[in-house]
Amino acid sequence: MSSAPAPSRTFLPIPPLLRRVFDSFPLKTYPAPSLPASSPRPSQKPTLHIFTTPSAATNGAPSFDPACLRLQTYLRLCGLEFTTAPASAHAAPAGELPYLTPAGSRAAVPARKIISWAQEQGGGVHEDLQEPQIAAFLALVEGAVRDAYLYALYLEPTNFLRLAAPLYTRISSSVGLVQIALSHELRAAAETELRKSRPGGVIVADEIYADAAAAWKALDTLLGDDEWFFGAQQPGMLDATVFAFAHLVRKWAWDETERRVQTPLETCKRLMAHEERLRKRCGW
Amino acid sequence: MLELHVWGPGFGLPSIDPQCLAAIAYLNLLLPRSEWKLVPSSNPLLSPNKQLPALLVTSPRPVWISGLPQIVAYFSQLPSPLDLEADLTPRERATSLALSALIQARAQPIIDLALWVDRKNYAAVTRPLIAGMLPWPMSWIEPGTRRVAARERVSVLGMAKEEEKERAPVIGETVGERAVREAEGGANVARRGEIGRELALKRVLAELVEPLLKQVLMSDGPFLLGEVPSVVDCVALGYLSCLLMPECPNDWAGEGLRKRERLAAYVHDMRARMLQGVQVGKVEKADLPWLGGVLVDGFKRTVEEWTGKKGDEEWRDEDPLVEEKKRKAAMARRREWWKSVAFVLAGVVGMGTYVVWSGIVAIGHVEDEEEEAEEEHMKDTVVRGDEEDEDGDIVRDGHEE
Repeated sequence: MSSAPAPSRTFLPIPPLLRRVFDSFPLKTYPAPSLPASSPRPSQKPTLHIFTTPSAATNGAPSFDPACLRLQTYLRLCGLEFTTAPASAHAAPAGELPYLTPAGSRAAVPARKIISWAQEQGGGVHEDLQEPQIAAFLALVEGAVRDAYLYALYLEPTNFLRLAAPLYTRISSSVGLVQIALSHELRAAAETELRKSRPGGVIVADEIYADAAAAWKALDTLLGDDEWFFGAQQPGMLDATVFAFAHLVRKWAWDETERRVQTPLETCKRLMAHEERLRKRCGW
Repeated sequence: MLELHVWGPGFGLPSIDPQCLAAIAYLNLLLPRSEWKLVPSSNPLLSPNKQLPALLVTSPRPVWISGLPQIVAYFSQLPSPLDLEADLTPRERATSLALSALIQARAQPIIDLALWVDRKNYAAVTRPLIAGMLPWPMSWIEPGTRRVAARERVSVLGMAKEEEKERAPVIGETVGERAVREAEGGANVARRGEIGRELALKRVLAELVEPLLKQVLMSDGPFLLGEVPSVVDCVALGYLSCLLMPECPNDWAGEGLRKRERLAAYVHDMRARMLQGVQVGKVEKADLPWLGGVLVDGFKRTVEEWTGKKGDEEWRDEDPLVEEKKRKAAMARRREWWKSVAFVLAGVVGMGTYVVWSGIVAIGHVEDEEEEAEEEHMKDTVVRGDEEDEDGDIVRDGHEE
């Protein structure tokens, strides 16, 4: 200790006092901590992590988020066995739900790869999603219909405070202040998303609702008197996507003065029947 | 007389904005040339929705209609309806709407990437073109604003970031160090990133182009849906020609389109059919309305931000229930505000109680005596400590005192 090693060559010598302090805290690397108790652990069945409540998750009930519900429905239509678990976007590997953990594995499959995963498992409805007609109508649902849904749920003030904020924020935290901060974040995210998809970045409620009404009508015409879209024997991705939005638009208890998203759908009788048909097929 | 206000011309097209081009094509198909006028005002603040294309209907009273879907809807609700798609079957009309949505959703990111985010193309083509259309000072501000917006739109694809990363210098690196790093493979890494980026761009482009190419091949007429033009042809013309026509230094989008010869031929054919006879007007640079609009808009936004009354402005419906709705919203907001205040108060009170309860701070007479005693004790130790140590600077100060 007393025989100091070669004098330090650094520009600023360390004062002896500081050196003594540092010496009493030697650098030590601890082993990596184990995962928290609530982290998903390998299970016997593949698990789909979605926005849902813990009680609904055990029943396999439909999610309250369209992006999650869409893939949940698709996997059911494929006839694949899976369980659902509640999760929050903060816990998702890519920052978005849903994601899937295959049986006996912790490696997550992100949302955009779930369809190809299902096809690898031998399930999967055989269809080409890049077929112009399918791609076009999928784009219509994910554009016009989604925009109106986002606007109605997040930007209409009463709907947001009564429906979206409690459900979405309660998953992430039980602390009131955190919930308030999260709800502001949610709303801002929805607004950015809307600005991105509208040309010129201008949000006008009337235009958004009118576009969605036209889209529902077009989908109703496309379905015609067929059982599933494009007269297919089996429901496919478009059926699952339309169902996800139609089901949620019908199910939410919209505020009386802010339910302009619901009325145009109710005039499309064939789409309403399609929603009921698919719900029965999924056993909900 | 109808006036169609659009972004100004460029790339040999009557407008450089895809939506504006689509609107021009639509009006050109729908109305005789003498009934409408093209005004390249390049000022989105003219219309109440702050959006171009905007149609100004002067009689019976001036009304602005902005956005292509709204313009289409306006003509179809006239007393004697004008509808380009009147002869199509309902199913074809539905397909037209869906294909338009597909083109818009998949082509916009490509235009953003090719014309705005790509630094070379932006500097060589887009910025000079837009700046040339605008009066001062908007010619300085607007291109940058639109570039930021474009980059935000494509941030999901993860390619905008890479563009920046390539340029970002390592902080604190000298010129010599950078040369060494690049020689040791830094440049290699950059090039590998570039190849990955090119592949990603090709994939994004293919997602737009492949379905459209299939649709063109399937159609049994010159148009996407057969023998008659529809709105989707206007939209396809608008977006695809904005990718095909510009002569960019990094022309990956144009090249990708030209490789699909049938699709490129379709775009050129549509250009000849639909934009024929469109007079490209002179660019109007009306400084005063522009500047006035910008100032008023900026002022309004600032006030809105200060007062926090942002959401209310967006409601444009004349619903009789609107008052009720506003009242409810205000109530809900107030409730939310009180909730936050209550939380903060509860937190502060809780903390205070805990501090007192745990004895960190004691209240009462004892406090003073204790404090004095403690202070004296502290002084003693300090002085003694000083005497022990004889080298420190602070200590010397203490002695002098």
